[in-house]
Amino acid sequence: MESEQTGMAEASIVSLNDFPEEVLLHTLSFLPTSDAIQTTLLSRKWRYLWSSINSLDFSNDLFPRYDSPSQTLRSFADFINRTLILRSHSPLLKFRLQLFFGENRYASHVDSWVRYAVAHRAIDMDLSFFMGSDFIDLDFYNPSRYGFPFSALRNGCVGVLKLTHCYLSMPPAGGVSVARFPSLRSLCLDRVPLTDAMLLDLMLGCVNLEALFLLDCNGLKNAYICSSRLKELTLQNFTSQGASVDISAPNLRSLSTLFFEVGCIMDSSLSRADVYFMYKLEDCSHWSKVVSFLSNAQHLTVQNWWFKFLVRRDVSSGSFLLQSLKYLELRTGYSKLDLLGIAALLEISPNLETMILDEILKVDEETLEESNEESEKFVTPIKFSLPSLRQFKMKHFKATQSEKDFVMLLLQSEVVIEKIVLICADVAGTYIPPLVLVKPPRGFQITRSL
Amino acid sequence: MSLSPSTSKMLSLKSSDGKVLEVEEHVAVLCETIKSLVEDGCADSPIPLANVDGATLGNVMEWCKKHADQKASADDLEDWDAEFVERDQGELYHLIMAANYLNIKGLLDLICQKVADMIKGKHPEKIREIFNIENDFTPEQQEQIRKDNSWAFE
Repeated sequence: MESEQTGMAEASIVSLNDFPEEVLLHTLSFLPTSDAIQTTLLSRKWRYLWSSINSLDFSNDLFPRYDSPSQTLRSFADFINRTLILRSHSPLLKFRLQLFFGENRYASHVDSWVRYAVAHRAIDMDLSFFMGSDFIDLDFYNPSRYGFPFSALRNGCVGVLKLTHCYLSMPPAGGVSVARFPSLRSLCLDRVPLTDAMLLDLMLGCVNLEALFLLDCNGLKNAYICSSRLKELTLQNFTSQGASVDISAPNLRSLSTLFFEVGCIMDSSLSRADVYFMYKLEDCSHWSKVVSFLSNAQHLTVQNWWFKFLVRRDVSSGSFLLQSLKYLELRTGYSKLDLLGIAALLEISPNLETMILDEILKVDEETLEESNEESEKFVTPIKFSLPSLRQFKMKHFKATQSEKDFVMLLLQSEVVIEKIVLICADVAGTYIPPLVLVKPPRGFQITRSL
Repeated sequence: MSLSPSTSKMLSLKSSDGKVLEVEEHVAVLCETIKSLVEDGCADSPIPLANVDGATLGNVMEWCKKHADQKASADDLEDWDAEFVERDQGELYHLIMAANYLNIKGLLDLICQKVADMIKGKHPEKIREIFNIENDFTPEQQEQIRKDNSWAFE
């Protein structure tokens, strides 16, 4: 492969050396810093080029292993220190660090790198101290996690911050809300323990925050997210029992939750939502709470809980409609109960244009069986109402009888569908091209796309 | 606000080798350079693009057309982009120069990323070979640089 490329480069008589410096620097900014520094050996043109890159990416993963972990850590820290000393004083765009933080004595090193990045006007900062899932049990109670000094961001221009597997050291005396961090627009905390008070403080201090991602952040009980600017919110894996979060964000447009209880959403007009819960029957109440905030949603990804909708008189008997819903991605099975659920959902979505069905996110087999028994209670025939549906797609299509029945049922309903795509599940690792059915003037015909 | 394809007016682009390409305005304005011409009202006659040859301009506009399509999902675009950069180095070089000249950040990022992937994890000799870079250091200089940077190369 490489020799082929060489041949073509010779044929077109151009060399990477012909490029303007700014283009070469831009290319170097996509490399891990250790690779970027290696280019100093290429030719005179490249001798000092790396020192002006505006993106630093230090990854423990890519660093050569020494005999002992602590020796590797020492060499890695030394490498970063020397790079920062030799680098020119040009501003930074990105600063990324991935470090297996095992020893507290490196905390002061990391502190100084953070301060370097902030002082060099870094806009995008991504620090990860996660060693991989294998180490979770080992270091769950390990006190030597890095504590990120939030106050270091003061007077900087960090707009996008992502922290993985560390603690937050909040500024003393009044916390973040007094200090104010107007530059921050996007904050992602992954495996960062948080208390309700810390989150409240963050929301008050980061006045311009537009996107917030909380992933596996333990410690929240009755959290309150209040923000006038927030547009995008992602909450994943809220593990404390009985804990929930209330949201007051008038400009929230996109909400994504995975196994996370949302207590109450105020003044929101969500246009996009991706919502998953544990597939347990008792979680239905959380689910129906969220549903009542989706009346303006245009783009929705959910599990098929809609049969529950049928039994909840308070919602189903009313005039609740998903009036704006145009795009729906539904994770579902094809049992009778599931079909009833789909029918109930379609009933309240008169303007749906695109529907995509995918496999259900299985957590607990038993609860699924339990819910199938319940289907005996329903004897009504299933009928789909799809006045506006134009595109239908089924993912992980295995051509089971129930899947085929579903497609037939769809075709028999009164629809204006133009295109049906069945994306086949891989069989023994073999890729099967999707089946595409398009509507010719008279009825459907199967064509296989390539 | 971008214009919908049905109402978009056409722009004529003239390449360095004299080929004229008709492109919908909402596609062409993905090039910041062309966008500022349109905004200044200087886009009536065929726009001369002295630094881009006809074949490359065709490729660039193919990319712009795909990325101007509002129906394309992020996943679709990613797959499409991965296929788009599968081409020989000569073409990649011309695309980089064109993306830089026409100021199309998305395309420039895409191809610089591709070139970076080709550099990643390779020894300097190999990189010189792949990218046709002449080693203009004397052996003594080379040794000195290696020594000076031993902290980074071990």
